[in-house]
Amino acid sequence: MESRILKEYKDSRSLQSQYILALDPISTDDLTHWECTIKGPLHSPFANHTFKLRIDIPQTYPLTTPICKFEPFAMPHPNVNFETGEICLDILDTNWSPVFNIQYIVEAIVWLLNEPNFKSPLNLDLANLLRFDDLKAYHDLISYHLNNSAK
Amino acid sequence: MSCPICLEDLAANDIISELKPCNHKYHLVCIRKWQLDSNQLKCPYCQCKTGKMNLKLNKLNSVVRIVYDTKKSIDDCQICGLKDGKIEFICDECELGYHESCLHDVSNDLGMQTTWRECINCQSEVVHSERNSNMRIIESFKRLSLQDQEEELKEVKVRIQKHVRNALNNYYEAKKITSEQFTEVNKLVSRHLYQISNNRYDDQTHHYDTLAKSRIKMELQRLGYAHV
Amino acid sequence: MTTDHRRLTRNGSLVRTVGTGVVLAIGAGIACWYWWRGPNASQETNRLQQKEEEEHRKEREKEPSRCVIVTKTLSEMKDFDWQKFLKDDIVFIVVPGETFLDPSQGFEIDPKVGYKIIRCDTILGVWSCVKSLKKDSLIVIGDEVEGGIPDDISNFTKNIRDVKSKEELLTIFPIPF
Repeated sequence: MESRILKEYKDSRSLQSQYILALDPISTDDLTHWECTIKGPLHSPFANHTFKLRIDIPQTYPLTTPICKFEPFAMPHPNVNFETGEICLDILDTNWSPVFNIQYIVEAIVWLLNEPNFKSPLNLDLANLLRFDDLKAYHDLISYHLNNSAK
Repeated sequence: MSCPICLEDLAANDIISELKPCNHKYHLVCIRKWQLDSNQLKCPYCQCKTGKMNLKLNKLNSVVRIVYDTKKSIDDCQICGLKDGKIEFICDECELGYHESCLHDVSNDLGMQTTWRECINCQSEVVHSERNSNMRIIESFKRLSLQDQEEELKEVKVRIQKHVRNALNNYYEAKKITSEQFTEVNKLVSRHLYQISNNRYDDQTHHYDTLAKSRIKMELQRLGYAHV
Repeated sequence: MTTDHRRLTRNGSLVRTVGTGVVLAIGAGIACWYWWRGPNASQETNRLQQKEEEEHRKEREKEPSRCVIVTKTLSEMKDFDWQKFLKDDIVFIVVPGETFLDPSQGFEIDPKVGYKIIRCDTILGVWSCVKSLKKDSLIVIGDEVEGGIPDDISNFTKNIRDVKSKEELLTIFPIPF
C-alpha cells in the first residue's frame, strides 16, 4: 500500500486538471490523509464555487476504497449528506476497483456534481426536486445554500 | 508496463497473470488478493467476467504459460489441473496446490531438478499440505467458487421460472386457481424443468413454454385443482 | 535554675519559632490556594455567565429567519419595496405561474442578495425547498397555495404563519417610510 500511495503522490505533483485545483496530502510525513480543492463544473449550479474534499486512505488500500467527504454544510447535492459531507457514489462503494486511484475518484466526484442521481439520495429534498423535474427550483435552492454557507 | 493494482512494473521476473478473455495483466499475487478480498472474479480494469488466466513466468529465459482456472480451488493441482484430493504441496505465498510428481516434472523440463520444491508462481518453497497454515484461505477459495456457482444457478432458476409463471398466469387470471395453488404448482413445475435441463438454461434444446404448459396441465389434474 | 530557665527559654523560643513557622506556612499555603484556586474558579464562572448572557442577548436580538411563499397576492404587490427585506435572513419561494422581482420586468436586484429568491416550476418543489431551508418561521397565504399547506411542514419549520389577508401581510412587512 505504501509504495502505491507514494507513486500516486509523485504523479499528483505533475497533475494538471481543469477542475482539480489542488490535491495534496495534509502532511508529507503521512500520505494517508489528503485534501483536495475542486472547482464546480461549468454549466452546473456549482460553477464559480470551489469545494474542499477530505480523503482518508485505509491501510488496506487499494483493496478497499478511500473515504471521501466534503466539508460539513458546504455541498448541497442530492447524493451528498449536507450535514456531514458524506458522498454516495457507486465507485466508492460496491463498484470499487483497485485500479482506481485518488485522482480518478476526485474526477468521478466532479462528474457527480453534474450528473446527480436521485435514486440514491443523501439529500432528500434536492433529490425530490430532480424527481419532480423542477430544475428551476433545483438550481435556485443549490444556489441559495452555496451563497448562504459562504457567509 | 505496470500492474494496475500495485502500480509496480510487471517485471520479467514477476509472475504475471493475464486474465481471459480480456488479456489485462496483473501480478498474480495482486489479482488473487483482490479476488479473495472482493469475492468476485471480474477484471478490475474492464469489469468483464473472467474464468481463466494465463500465468507467465520467466525461468532461465523460458516462458512457461499455464492456463489456470480462476475458479479452481486450491485442492486442484496447478500443473496438471486434476482435482483428485491428492495435493501434497501447497505454496503459502500464493495459496496454490501441487502434486509432488507434477512439481518434479516441471523442474525436469526446466533442467532444474534440484529446485523442484518451488512454487511455479512465486518461487518460494512449497510446504507439505499437512503442514500448511493457510486453511482459512483454502476455505475462502472454496467459498468463492461455490458462491459463483450459486449465483449462476440462481440466474438459471429465475429465467426458467419466468416461463412457468407466464403459463400459470393464464389460469390465475381466469380465477381457475388460487395464489397458494399458483405457488405450489410453480414450485413443482419449475423444479421439474431445472432437472430436465440439467440446471442450465438452454432454450435451444428445450422449448420451455411448451414444456411448462404441458407439465402444469399434468400437475393441475393430478392435484385436482382445475379441470383442463 | 539559670540553666533550666535557659533551657526552657531556649525550648520556648524553639517552640515559638517552629510554631510561627508552621502558622506562617499554613497561612501562606491557604493564601496561595485562594490566590491560585479561588479567584480563578470564580473568574471562570463569571466568564461563563457573561458568555451565556451575551448569547441570550444575541439570540433575542437576532431576527428569526423567515421563509416566505410568494403567491398571487404577494406577486401582485409590484410597487412594494420587497428589496428592503432581502437584507434580512429571509428566503422568498415563488410558486409556479407567479413572478417576483423578475429581472424581465425591469427589476434590478443586488446580486449579493438575489440568491434569496427561489423560483419553482412545481408546487411539490416549493415544499421541498421549505423542508430543505428549515427556517424559523414560514409565512404563507395557505388559501392561495394549490393543495394547501401539507401536514408534515410543521416538522421542518417551528412557526407557520398562515396569512389570511393583504392587511395581515402588511403587518408582517411594514411599509417603509
